[in-house]
Amino acid sequence: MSDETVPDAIVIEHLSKSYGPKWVVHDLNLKVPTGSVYGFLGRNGAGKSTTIKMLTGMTPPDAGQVRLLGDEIATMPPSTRSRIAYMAEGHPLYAWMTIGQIVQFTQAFYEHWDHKLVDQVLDHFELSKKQKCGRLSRGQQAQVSLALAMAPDPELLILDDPTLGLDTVVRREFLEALIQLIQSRGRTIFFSSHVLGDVERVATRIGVMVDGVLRVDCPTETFRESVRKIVVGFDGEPPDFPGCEGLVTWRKVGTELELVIVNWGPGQQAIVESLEPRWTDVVDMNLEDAFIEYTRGSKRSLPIFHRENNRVDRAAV
Amino acid sequence: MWTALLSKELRECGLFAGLALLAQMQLLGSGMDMSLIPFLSSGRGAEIPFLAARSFSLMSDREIMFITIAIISAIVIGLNQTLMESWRQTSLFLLHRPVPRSQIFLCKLAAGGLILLSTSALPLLIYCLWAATPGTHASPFFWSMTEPWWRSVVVAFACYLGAFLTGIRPANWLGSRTWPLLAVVAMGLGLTMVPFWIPVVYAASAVLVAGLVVSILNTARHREYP
Repeated sequence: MSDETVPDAIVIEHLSKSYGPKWVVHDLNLKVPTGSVYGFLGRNGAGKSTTIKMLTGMTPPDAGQVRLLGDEIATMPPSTRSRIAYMAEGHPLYAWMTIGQIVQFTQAFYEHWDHKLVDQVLDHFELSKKQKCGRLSRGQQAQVSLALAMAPDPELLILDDPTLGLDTVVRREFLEALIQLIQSRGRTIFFSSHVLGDVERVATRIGVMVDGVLRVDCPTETFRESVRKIVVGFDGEPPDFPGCEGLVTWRKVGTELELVIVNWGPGQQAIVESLEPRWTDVVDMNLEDAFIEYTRGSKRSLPIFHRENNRVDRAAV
Repeated sequence: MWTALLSKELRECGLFAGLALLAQMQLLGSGMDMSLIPFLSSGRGAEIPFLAARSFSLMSDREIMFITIAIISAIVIGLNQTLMESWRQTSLFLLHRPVPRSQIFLCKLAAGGLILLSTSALPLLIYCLWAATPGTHASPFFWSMTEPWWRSVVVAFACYLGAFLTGIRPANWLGSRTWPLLAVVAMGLGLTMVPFWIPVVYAASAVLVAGLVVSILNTARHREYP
C-alpha cells in the first residue's frame, strides 16, 4: 500500500495468461497507488492489451488475482464497476447511434451522471450531439469515448492505447483534456500507449512489459535517468565488451563501442576504463530513447529494476 | 437500463425483423387472399388452412415456407445480435457497464424472443383468427389443427438460441463453432416432424431451450472478449 490510509487503486498478484504453450502474461505483480497516473508500456505483443483485458474482466486469467478499488474483478459488484471507466483500444461505439443517443444509452446504466461535464467535453471538442458515431473520425470517437468515460465521475480510468491512430494535434488536445480532468479530481489513471512522448507528459509512474514479464515498475523519472547510453571511443577496432552489472546491450559502431547500461556507476566505469579507451561519453536519453534501448536489448538478460521496490507483498499472498 | 438495452437490440435487428415480418405477411396474407404484393402470389385456391400433415411430402407449401422463414430469420437475428457485437468490438463497450453480464445477455435474449414473436407468432395468430372466423373458407377448422405451426415457432426460438450460442462461442474453426446451431436445427426439425407424443415433444423443446439459455449465460460469463 502506498499510504496507510488510502488503499491502492489496482492490485495485481501473480497474474498469468497463456495461449497454447506461450505465456502472454507471466506472473505479473503490480500495485498502482490511488491518485497516480500509470503508463503501461511495451512493444507490440508484449502483453499490455491482454493485461488490460484481464483488469477489466474481458479476459479470464489462467492464474492470479486482480483487485480494482478493493474488489476482486471476477466478483466485482456493479456499484464498484460504476466507479471504473474503461476506454477500449479503437474506441468502439455503436455506429448507428448519434452522439446524443449514445450519451443517453450509456447514461441509463449509471446512477450518477454529470450532464454538465459531458456537454462541456463535447463543446470543448466542438462535437454536436446530432453527429452519427459512425461518421466521426478516429479522434472524434476518442473524444466521445472520453466524455462517456468521465460522465459517471469514475475514480479509476483504464485506457487501452487511447491515442492510437490520432494525429499529433488531436492527440495533444486529447491529452490536455485528459490532464485537466485528472488534475481537477485526483483520479487514478492506468493507460497503455505506444507514444512515449505522451507517457512522459502525463505519467507519474511507468511499467514496461517485455515478452509478458513486467521488467520495469518505477517512477517515470527514475526509468529515464537509470538507462544510460555509454559511447566509448578507441583508436582502432574496439574490443568485445566483457559484460557488467546492469548491461542491457552493447554493439560496435566503427571505432566506437556503444553500451546501454541501467544504473551506470563506478563499478561499470571501472570495467569500461579497463578497456583503455581514448574517450568515454555518457549520453542522457529521453524516455523514448531509453525505452527503445531498453526493450531492444537481449530479452532474457534484461536487468529488472523494479525488484528492489517491488510493491507487491509476496508474504501476504 | 432495460429499456435502453431493449431499444438498442430492437433497433439493431430492425432490418432483419422487418424483412422477416414482410415475408411472413406476404406468405400468410396470400393464404387469406390478402397478399401484400398480389403479383407474387397465386392466391389461396382450394387450399385447406392448417390441414394436418406431419411429413415434408404431405405438408402444404405454405407450412414449409412458414417454417423455413421462421427458422432462417431466427438464425439471422441470433447471429446478428452476437457476431456484429464482436466484429465491431462494441462488446467491450457494452460489457463494461455496471450491470451483471447475465442481465445484459438475458436482455438480448428477451429482445430476440420479442422479435420472433412479432415476426412469426403474430402473423400466425392473425392467420389462425382468420381461419377460425366462419365464412372465410369452405373447410372445417379446429384450433388443434394449428398446433404443428405453433410448434414450429417454438422450434424457431430454439434455433435462435442455437445461433446465439454459436455467435458467442469461441472455437478454433467454423465447424466446431457452428455445431450448436447445426445440432439444434437438426433436433428442431425432428421435433417439428413428430406426429405423436405431443406433450413429450413440448417437454423436450422446453429442456432444449432451457439448456441453451444456461449454456449461453455460462459461455457469456467465462468467455474471452477479443
